[in-house]
Amino acid sequence: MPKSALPIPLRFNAASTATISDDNHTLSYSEFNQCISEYHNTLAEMTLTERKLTETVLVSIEQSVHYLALMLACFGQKKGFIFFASTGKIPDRLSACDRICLDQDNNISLVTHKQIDTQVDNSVSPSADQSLAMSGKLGFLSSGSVGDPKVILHQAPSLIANSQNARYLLPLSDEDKVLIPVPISHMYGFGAAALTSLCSGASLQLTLGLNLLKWRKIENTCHPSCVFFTPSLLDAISAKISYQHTLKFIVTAGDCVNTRYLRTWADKTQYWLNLYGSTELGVIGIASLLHDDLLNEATEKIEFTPCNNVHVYCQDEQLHIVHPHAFVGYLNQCVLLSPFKTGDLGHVESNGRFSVNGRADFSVNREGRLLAFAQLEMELKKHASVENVVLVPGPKDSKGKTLIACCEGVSEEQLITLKQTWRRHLPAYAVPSELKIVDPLPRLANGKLNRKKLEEVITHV
Amino acid sequence: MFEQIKTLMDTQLDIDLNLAAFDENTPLFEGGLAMDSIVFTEFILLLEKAFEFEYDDDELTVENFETLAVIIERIQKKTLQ
Repeated sequence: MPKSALPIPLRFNAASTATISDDNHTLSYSEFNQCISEYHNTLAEMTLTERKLTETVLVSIEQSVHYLALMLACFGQKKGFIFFASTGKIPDRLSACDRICLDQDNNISLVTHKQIDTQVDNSVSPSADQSLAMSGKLGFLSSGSVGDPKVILHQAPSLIANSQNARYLLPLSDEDKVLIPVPISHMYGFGAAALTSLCSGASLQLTLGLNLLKWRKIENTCHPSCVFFTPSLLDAISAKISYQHTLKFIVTAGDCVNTRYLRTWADKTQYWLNLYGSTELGVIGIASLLHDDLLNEATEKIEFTPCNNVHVYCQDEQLHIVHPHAFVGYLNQCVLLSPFKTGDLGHVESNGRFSVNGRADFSVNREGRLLAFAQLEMELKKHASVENVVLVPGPKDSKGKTLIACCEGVSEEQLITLKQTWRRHLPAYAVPSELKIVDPLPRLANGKLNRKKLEEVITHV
Repeated sequence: MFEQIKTLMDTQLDIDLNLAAFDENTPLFEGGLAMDSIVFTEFILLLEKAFEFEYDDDELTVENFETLAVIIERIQKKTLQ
């Protein structure tokens, strides 16, 4: 098992029966280690050939054991590697980088940017000076809801240490079979799910396009003991759950997990663990959801326990994190950002545990008051019968920016009375000036609100 | 029943139906409607509600949901029982 001084190429140890599988292949740990080693050597040779790779290399990622091995083979190389989903769009600023993928025989194939796409603007690629800093770094694209993704750079030892840190809080062992339907091209699927499971010596099953039918098949044939879900995958499975097979634990991530399924899963799994983290910091904290207070609706507050040596504190009501295994910076901006300002509103208890109350960076200034959308949305929901309310900034008036409330799960008739209800309970400056029904609210695949799409949608409502 | 299901899908599911090219043999997933996981679950719940039946656990297999023709055949069997 890799420790702080990384054995390069990486090697993982496991019980002799543990395997790493995808929808088409199954490898033993020994075969998997061999695969990493071969890819590692190929990449090292590619950097030495006359046809030099660019200092930053894009790695197109698919949900397979060979691609997982390829990602791990990028650890400890002299180039910088940035992972992105093969189905995703390459950010314009990376279009001048060489790109690698695997061919039909799972051999590394080099495709330069000129061969992929001659139409893209190459003028914003990493400059020579900046690319010097890329050596040994590994990049992930952010999955934020606004704008182009950021490229978030990590040092290889930090990624391993981050996963080791998460292991202390996840009840994983080499006897577990871990199902990973979340994409390994993202930090959650790679760092929290795959790498943590590999460090534990567990069996892994990577899968793509999980839906109810595929889930039932995998449940009956592979008998997973642990599953990493996105909120939307969990929703898809939860509506028709079968209790024939029980699990040790399921994992979700983010502050938008749907707790209406708590009772459904209470008889299906021993633990439901919710991770709080980011692409920049990996896993920050963990919350166990199947406990009496949440099940009995005595509280809606989810409390996270920080990972080992992770310090969480509140400043201006926002969560700040000091993480020993944080990222090193964003592409073209390699400076250490510590403490890391999450942009999440939250609260830290005296025992170090913390809760998250939504995003802080969506706000307007009205009548001299900073109105944080996350806080105000909670207030609006508290005082009215509406499934979901999301605020977006409207046009300016004499008091500042106005607010538009986008409502989900409310009828036309109810909408008329909503404003009156809010007026009774909230100060005038906090009452949205315009109300619109947007049902359903647009969401990203990971279940987060798609704010960019919402702003497009409401212009037509 | 096909027309009824088609209308349900068109009006109640978040799916881009090309109605002109859509028939009983259009695959629900790859090479056809490409239903995502959430839409597919909603589709099952919609069928159960509209035709007042419930799928048994062992009926939730890929083979039973390949096309609308297969789905209709099973619903007809179940609702006749």
